[in-house]
Amino acid sequence: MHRARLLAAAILACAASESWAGEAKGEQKLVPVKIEFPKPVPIPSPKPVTLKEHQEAPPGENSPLPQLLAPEGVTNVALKKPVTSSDESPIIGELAQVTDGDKRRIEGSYVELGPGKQWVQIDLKGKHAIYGVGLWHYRTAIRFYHDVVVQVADDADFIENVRTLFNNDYDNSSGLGLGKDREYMETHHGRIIACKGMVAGHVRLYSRGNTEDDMNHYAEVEVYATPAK
Amino acid sequence: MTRRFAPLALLFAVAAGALALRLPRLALRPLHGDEAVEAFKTGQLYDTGFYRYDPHEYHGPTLHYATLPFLWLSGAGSFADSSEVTFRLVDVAFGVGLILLLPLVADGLGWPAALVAAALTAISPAMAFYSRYYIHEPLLVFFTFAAIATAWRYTRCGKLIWAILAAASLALMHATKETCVLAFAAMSLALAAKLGWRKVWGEPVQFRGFIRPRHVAIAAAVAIALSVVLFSSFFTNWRGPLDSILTYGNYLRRSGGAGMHDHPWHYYLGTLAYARYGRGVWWSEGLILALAAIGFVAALWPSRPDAPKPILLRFLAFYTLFLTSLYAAVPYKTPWCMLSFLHGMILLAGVGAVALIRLVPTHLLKGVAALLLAAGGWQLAGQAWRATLDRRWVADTRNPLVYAHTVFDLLEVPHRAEQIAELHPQGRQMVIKIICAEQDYWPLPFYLRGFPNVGYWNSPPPDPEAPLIIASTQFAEQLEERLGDRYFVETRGLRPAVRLNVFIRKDLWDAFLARQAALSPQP
Repeated sequence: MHRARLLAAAILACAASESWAGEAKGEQKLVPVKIEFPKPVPIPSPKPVTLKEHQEAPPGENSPLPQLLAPEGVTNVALKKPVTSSDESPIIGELAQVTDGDKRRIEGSYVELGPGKQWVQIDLKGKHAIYGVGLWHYRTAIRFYHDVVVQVADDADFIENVRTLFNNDYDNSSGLGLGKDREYMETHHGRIIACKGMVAGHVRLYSRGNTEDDMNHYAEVEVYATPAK
Repeated sequence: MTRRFAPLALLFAVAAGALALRLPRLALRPLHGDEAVEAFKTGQLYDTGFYRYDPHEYHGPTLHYATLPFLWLSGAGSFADSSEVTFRLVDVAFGVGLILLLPLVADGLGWPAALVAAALTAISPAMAFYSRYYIHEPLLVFFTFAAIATAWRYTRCGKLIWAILAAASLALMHATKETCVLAFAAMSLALAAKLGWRKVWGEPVQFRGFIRPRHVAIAAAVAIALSVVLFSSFFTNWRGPLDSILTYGNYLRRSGGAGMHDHPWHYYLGTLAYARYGRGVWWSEGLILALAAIGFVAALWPSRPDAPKPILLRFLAFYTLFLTSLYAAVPYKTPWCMLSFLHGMILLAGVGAVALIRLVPTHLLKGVAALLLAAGGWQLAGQAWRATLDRRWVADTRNPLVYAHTVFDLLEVPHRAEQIAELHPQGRQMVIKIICAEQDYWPLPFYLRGFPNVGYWNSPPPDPEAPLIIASTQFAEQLEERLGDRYFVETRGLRPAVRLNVFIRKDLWDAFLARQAALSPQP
């Protein structure tokens, strides 16, 4: 609980310092992005979790929701945008569910991709200044998804100007580089990844199974951005 | 000539189709714990020539001895050089062999029914799935059918060779798996019921001259000799043949219930009829069940007084009914056990399909019925492909044929061991300690067969330290307390909801990370 509070405080402090720095430089004022988090649903009979060095503590029951600061006017530009994937015929659901705005923890609100390394990709339909990416996998049990890597690029083939926003592949088993981020437990907080107005047209999210099974699930991905000028 | 060989040609084409579902990517699915145990025992036999029948576990010796030619042909110098493909090829051979036995009973079933049965054997998801599994069932089903088919041939021509082959098949059933007694019981009950059925319908029953005592004596001698040779491990373990009888006491106790593999009587039939978990895909071998039911009725329906008596069909109908009932009655159930009675159902389904087509009036409607059956078969083949060759389903718990199976994540453990061994001064000679309660570490011994210094403990030993430690998560606290921060720890799956912790000594982990960082793509 204490660690979770510290973590939340650190996120807010970081965000605030960025905001102040921006104002000092005469940049746009940063405000919290309106993110709708799904309702917390307790996991039935959870087993105790012994965290490993490469895993971070889950947020506590009373932990504040993560916040993302961005210039005014930033919205979820991924909503209803086309989604492609390394698994063209998902085991369960449809790829469109990744950006359908439904991130509830219920049957029918997620898409399940095959085992091993898989990715989903969102075409933002034009270049955007991206301030953050929100990601919700599947959370019916205590799950840590492996090798979560979030990248943005200018082109759909991820050749031009590829930048990595998040990488918790601690052993480079997915071959995208050694990640410095830690694995996190899936909760209604999801994962909000901040990035400072990176301009890109496509967002790709990798994963490689999870601690419960070999599959890859996505309830929702949101991209908080504004059209690039 | 052409008319005579056309059915055989078709049968071989079907067998080729069966191979197409059974041969490719045999290493795709991680080994089940049971497969690994059997492969490990075969590996010991291959490396040392040692095999002892254990009346408590692991079933009979035929699987192990039948694997030896495959290992020799694979060119593997030792168990460590072998691959899971070689082991699973044994079951592929026996699974396809079931189809190749069909000509022996074609005059009893009728060639059209035999060909439909061949096709259904090829495309049955359960048949295809477990023919790629290193377990005893495909061998047991093969020897069972061989016993029926050769006995049938003996009743047709009375030649000694068929009696010997039938008896040898019965002996091989016994030497394959203890559940052969269920098939023996079903066969005996079916013979009795068949005779009773003839009496009910007022048909003459004649025994004289049907079976020659001399043939029976010779065949029995061959069966006993074969059984003794196998159970005594080629005359090196004289306790084996006795144990092969005493074992039934053990298995009777185990089958009595109150175990983790106990399921209700309808478990097998339900699994075959329809299975769907959550929003996953649905599975059904309902086509086979429905056609088998029609075949059952067709086999027992009193034929016209002038028509030849469907002797074999009646036997198969009663045999399948009794065998299915016996398997349903035993509380201990694992899905691969279905194969025994499913094969009987498939034979009856062949008869049922032909009866159905014959029942339909006009050529046009017969054509429509045949097309509908073909569509059902296509759907069945699609399920078989999904179950056997689609990586997403081959080890997924929502595949009803997957049972307490190893998860893909476990394959990361031997992979990690290889990666760490590359950095360890002793390479593959490095010590690996596996600490898991109740030996719940299979199939790891198979996957770590290339590491000669692997030790196994049921609880943490006084000195647990080693370059690599693999332990049940229940020992996490104990081990972390004793190992301190000298290890990097990661968690891997063994089976659904069963995990292992992998402890990697920090110096080796740091060296590994440095190497991985060097391999990272440069921004």
